[in-house]
Amino acid sequence: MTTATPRPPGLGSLDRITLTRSNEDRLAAAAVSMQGVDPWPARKMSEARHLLALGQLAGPERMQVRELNLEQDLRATVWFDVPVAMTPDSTGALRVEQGAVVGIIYPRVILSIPLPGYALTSLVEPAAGAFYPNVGSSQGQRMCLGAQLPVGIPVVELAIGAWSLLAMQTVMMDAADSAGVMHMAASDYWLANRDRMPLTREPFLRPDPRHGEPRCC
Amino acid sequence: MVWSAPGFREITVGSTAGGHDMVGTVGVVDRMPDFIGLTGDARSRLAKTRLLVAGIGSVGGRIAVHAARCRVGEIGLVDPKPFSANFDTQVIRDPSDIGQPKALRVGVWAKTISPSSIVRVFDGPVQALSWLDLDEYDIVVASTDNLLAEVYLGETCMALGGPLVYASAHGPTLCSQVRAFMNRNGDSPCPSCGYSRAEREQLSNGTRFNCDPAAGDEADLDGPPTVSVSPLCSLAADMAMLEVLRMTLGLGLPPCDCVRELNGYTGASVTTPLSRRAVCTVDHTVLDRVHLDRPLGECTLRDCAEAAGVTGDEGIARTSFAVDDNLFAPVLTCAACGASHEHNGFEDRRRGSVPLVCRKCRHHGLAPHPFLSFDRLIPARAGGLLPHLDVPLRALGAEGRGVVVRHGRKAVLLRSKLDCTRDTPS
Repeated sequence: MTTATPRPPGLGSLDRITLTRSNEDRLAAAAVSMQGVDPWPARKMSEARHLLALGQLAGPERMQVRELNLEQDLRATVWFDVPVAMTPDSTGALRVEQGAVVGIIYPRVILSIPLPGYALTSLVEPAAGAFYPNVGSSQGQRMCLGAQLPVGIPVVELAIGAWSLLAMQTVMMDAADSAGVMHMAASDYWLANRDRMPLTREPFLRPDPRHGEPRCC
Repeated sequence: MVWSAPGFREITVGSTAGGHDMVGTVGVVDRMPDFIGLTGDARSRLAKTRLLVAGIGSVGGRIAVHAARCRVGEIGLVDPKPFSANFDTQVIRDPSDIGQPKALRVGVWAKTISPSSIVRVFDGPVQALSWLDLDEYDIVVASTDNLLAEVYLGETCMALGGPLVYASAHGPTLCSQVRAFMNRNGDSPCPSCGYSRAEREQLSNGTRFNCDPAAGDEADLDGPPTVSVSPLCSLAADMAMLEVLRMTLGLGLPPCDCVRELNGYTGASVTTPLSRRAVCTVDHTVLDRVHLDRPLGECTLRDCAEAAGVTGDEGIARTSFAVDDNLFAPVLTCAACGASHEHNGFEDRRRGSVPLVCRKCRHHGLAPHPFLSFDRLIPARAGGLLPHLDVPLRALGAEGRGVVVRHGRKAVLLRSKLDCTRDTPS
């Protein structure tokens, strides 16, 4: 008789992940000043818990939830280990930095109405110079995750969507598309240099050493 | 002072935009009845009424014309689209209307009918108007083609405590319908409360129910255009305007949260009460109103908090303030080098960059960072602001049209009597 090692939890079972003591403490601290009327506070707690669980699942070498604020909107900054394309230098050579901090604002209104794809995520670090078709170059590097974000989109989908955008595993470069692009020069560059995409082929969840495949449901 | 939202245009006497420059050239015959049960004068009450019509299509266009014929004092018309060649149901007066903005053309017509009315038009989506813009109207009547606008109006009118009347027609069943949302308190229903699962999915997908696709716009539709007939659209408009008259003049039974339907097959009319869905995701908070005797721009955050009943530094620091349609920006960032510059001020969310120079790279134009700015300011969170609690809002960059103060379960809308023409609460 053979016994299989139980499969670890994946993206579809974040509820099953037991938060570490420090993450439980962070969640409790954020909840102290939480405002809002039902069902918003409970939803914020659930989304924040899933985000922290995602951080545990991905590991600190891939993702770290740095700030977590539940007072009004859910606001979080998340550091990702991900290559970041930067504006080419004077010779036209693309620069690639490693590591990014993404700001996520998750407002209550997303429970009621869909929002534009650029409404909830922005690149906080690097503070300027990111070179993507779907990252704005002015007014705080908004990150566009699609034409529209559906009602109630989970925060973890925003986080993974932001990572995929930076890794250029998800990209929209057609300025004629209804989603549009936010950086025309970058769009032109990447249309001409499609062979350089994606910046990494690594999956967001690195392979589990016990199974040798991505931890994903 | 009556504020016009950026983009709102007032139709003036003699406007030639619609090609019907007959204002003031004819006499006026008064056909207003002495309504049974009316106390006071209908004309003067209607002249003091401010009505916003959102969606100037086959139904909303007729409502606008009805409002003008009733000589409603202020009429705001909102629609982002131009007329298409839909002669079946639209309120097209002249082939030259086709391709012209609906709100503008109907606004000119309304002004022609009622020169004494103040008519303003906005050729954009109603979601582009702020809550302060909507607060300038007593009643909002809407007949829009997408659920997003419906939810936005429902939530905003709920917060402001103002009535919302939605009119619609369903061609295949020959049914016209108006839904009245009185928004009296947090137990009042909103449009979203009545959505089925399918409608919630349509909302999430941004589905539009367009019976009037503008040229080249068909590709954006999610299905075949909705269909109807002119009398059915007219009937929906008639029912909506009758509801407005009842509300304005206090006729009949007090208005309530209900849906009224009239079926063309049977001639039967049905009124059904509407109720709140317990798990509705829309915020059902109705703001309490406080009107101050002085301009809000001269008030400090502390003044605002105290007017809302919040006292003490600790309490004020944990209070949230939404000021005008502004963002509070603790810092402004440079798009060129990313440098942050301390700001601690309010900025109009609709404005692009601020004409300041980056001290690091000399780039012209700084802007609030979307993540590092707040639509609701909590002084304790913006640590650098605590010393500014006693600085007038104007000195912090806010005009001071309206402030929403929230503390715990308390939610108060502050406006100045000098700025707001809406009735002062008793």
